[in-house]
Amino acid sequence: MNQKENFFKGILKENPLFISVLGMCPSLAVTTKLENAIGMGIAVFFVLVLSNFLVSLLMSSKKIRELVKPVRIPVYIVIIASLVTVVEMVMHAYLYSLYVSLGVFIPLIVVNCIILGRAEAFASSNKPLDSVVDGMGMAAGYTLAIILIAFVREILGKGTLTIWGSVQLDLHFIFDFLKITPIDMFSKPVGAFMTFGFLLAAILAITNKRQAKLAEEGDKK
Amino acid sequence: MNKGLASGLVLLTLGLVCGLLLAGVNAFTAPTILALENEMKFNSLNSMLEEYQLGTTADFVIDEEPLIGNVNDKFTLSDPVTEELQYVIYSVKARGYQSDIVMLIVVDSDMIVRGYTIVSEAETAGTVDFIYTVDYLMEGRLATDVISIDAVSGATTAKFSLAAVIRCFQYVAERIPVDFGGGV
Repeated sequence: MNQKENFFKGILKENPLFISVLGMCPSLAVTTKLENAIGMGIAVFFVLVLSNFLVSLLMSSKKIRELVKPVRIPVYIVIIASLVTVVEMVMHAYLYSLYVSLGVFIPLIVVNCIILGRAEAFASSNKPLDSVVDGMGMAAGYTLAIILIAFVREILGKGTLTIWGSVQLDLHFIFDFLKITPIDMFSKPVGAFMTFGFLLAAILAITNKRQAKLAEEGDKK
Repeated sequence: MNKGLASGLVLLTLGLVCGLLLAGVNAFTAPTILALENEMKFNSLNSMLEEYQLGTTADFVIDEEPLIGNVNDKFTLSDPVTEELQYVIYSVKARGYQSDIVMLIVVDSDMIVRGYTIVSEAETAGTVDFIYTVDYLMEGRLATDVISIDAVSGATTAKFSLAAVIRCFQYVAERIPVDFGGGV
């Protein structure tokens, strides 16, 4: 697998959210605003890339790998928790409103299955560069997925699109044109599940159709 | 060397390295966080005084006294000419569901609650908005008379946050005898 395939598999083929359905809890909780999704995506990107790199670096030496193997899960947790704490402290100091919006979901990145899963399934048995590219692809796939969910939820639920800080698009004119009001339900947990369900169904339908078409073409040949 | 012990030592070393990294990051973020919290507290103090029409921070001589415990700061506002005590503002915090809820509570020289505001909280967005609008039935009451606050009820999903606000009033009620001489 070349680096391009390694990167893009995280975005499409093995998307952590829509294909592997990992890291659902924070993804659904923080997607009330587009800004939160972007912030969460950046935090996960930083943690995932660096944790993949450090785990891979640690495991690249045969001698250290033998020693780490029996305690590898605590080792991963220590690395990930340290990186998450760095993110939390920096966010608290310099991005306070985002820190407040994301709340408990920043420290919860420690137990995000995507990060722990990539450390165990990929970084521990691959070279540092491959692991960094894998981390970047997976984080990009995760970020795009939560951005998509937040995009739908914020427009339908609030009629706005908060890109960052005070940069906000007011889309109420669409609702005024349709003579309806924003559907508050989409800002609530039930809206998160519904949005995720519809998007997942749409993505699976497209994927299945594509696979069926490819199989049909293969049969004809 | 015993293999298990060696693995443990690797984990210990890693923990120490990570601890040093975090200490380094904390060294440059902690002053910014402290400055940010102080700024927020001062802004809240000013806007609360204006909201309850008690004046502005410029109208008083303000003495700050850091305290230990849930009531972690005390601001004494005195008249600049007569030096008479006008108000005492307590900065108090209590644990909510997932964060500390920080409040400012103004008590006048007669121990009457003249105003209160929630300075900060980091509870789940959208679930605790109502704690800002609940009437805690404390304005105009003796600060130690917290029995009335039992009448306040809230949604069960956010009861931790609501209970934290109520506890803030209770902490101040416990502090009052220390500052006002206990003759309540």
